[in-house]
Amino acid sequence: MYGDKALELIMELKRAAEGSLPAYNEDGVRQVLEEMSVLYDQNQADVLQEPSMTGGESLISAVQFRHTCLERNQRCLLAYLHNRMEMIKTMRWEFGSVLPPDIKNNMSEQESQWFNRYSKSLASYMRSLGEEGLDLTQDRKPPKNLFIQVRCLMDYGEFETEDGTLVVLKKNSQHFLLRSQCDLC
Amino acid sequence: MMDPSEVEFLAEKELVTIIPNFSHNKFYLISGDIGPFNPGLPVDVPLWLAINMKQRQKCRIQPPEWMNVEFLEAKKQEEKESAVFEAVMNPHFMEMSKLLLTHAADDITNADEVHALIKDLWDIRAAKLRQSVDKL
Amino acid sequence: MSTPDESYEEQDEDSEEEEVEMTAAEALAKLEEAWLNEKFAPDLLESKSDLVDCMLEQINQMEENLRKCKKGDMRILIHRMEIDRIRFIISSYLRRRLEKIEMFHQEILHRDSLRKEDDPLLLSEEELRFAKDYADGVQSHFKSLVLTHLPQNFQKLDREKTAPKPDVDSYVFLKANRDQDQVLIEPELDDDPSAEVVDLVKDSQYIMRFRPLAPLVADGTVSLI
Repeated sequence: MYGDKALELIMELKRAAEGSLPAYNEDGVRQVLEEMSVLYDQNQADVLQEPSMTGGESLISAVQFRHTCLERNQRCLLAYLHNRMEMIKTMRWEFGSVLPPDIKNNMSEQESQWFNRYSKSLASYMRSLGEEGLDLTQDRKPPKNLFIQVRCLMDYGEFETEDGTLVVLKKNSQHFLLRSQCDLC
Repeated sequence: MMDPSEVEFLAEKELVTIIPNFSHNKFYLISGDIGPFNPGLPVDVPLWLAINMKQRQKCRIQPPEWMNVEFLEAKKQEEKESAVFEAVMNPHFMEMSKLLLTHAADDITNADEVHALIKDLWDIRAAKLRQSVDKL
Repeated sequence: MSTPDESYEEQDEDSEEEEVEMTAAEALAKLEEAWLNEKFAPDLLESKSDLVDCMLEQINQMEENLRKCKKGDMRILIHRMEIDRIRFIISSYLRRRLEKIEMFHQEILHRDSLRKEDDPLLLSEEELRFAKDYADGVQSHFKSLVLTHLPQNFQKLDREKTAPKPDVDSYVFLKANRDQDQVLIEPELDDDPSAEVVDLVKDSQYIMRFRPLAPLVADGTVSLI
């Protein structure tokens, strides 16, 4: 059925796990392009044969049908590209300008180029903010300046908190620390 | 659309009264001046700061005037009897009470009952919202 | 003492020439309002880069002051927390704008090209640069990957039909910051005497389509919630 391969491309993306990028389907895209080429040539041939399109209903509907298939394939291809582009964009915001190898390997050459261009453009914009730039990929959630109670699992020694207070982290001692500082130790 | 953490973020700007146990002169925050602080003397600070100070055991929090059983019972009754939305005591009452009950329950008289009443009030209003949306 | 209406008009005329003096607290309040408006509006709103620059400057100044503080000073933690909060608002605001700029880049760049000298800025200078590069990047990406390989008739995309546009007819929640009479619910029916009109009352909340509200959001008559 015409259009099946194009649809399959879209479905492939829908099935992809959250946060992953399936490999660029070079073959799939090529097949859709080939199919379009065949349909287009057939239409061209038909129209040339009957320039006034008086060949009766069946000819007209054949041409119309192929045209509809062509449009559908075009839409699917563009949607495939567009959706992958959006996924790649998300990766830039999640991982920064250096992508994990498994994602990098799944991008086509042109997609890599697009990613690099977008990455640079974004970095350039962020650097232009204020005097020293502002990393917009950080601070995605409102700050939670809450203290949480932690228990030390082992002797750590002295730890200096943001405002300079020294806390001695001994095994089994309990302290209140800012959440952000818990990440550090 | 706002996610819950952002709704809470907005609510954290509301001023609440604390009773500090320390001394300090004014803090000149960008959003305005706070203090000075003297032990035992009430001061108004934004909720985010109040909660933080409470956690570091530097103050008690004075519950807002609407956060008591009498007031909330009356409010709940009012809301129940009315077909329309009654005015609320504070646009952020839900988030404020969640934060205060979580981190300063010991400063709130009858905290459990207050919690239940606020939930009831919320539920009544939520039901009204569902009804009016259905009508639309 | 001028009436509120008079002084408001003055501000409008003068804001081009003079910088309206405002305190840091006022600027922060205005930035918060801009953030919420931008968050809830389906369309890209006027650029408030001057407010952003102002707050970034405030934050930097504060960071510098904190570096000079003695260790253990109670102020450090408190100011840091406030800085985190302000930085979140700025980031969230700018991210929301980028989101719309990327989504509607063709329509936005087109609208920007129609701007006249004195019209308020839709995009900051850097946003414009970003938008143009983004548009170019997307176009060459599509071209190289697909469009040039397509049969002749399918190589060009009709921008009118394919460029996404913000849905200005979607509904938004708002509150009125002041009384405003005679708001046309359907601005398209401007000359129609039977066109529906609504009076907004200060501090009341409403749900309406965004389209008629755009100018009221821009001049602060209403805030989106």
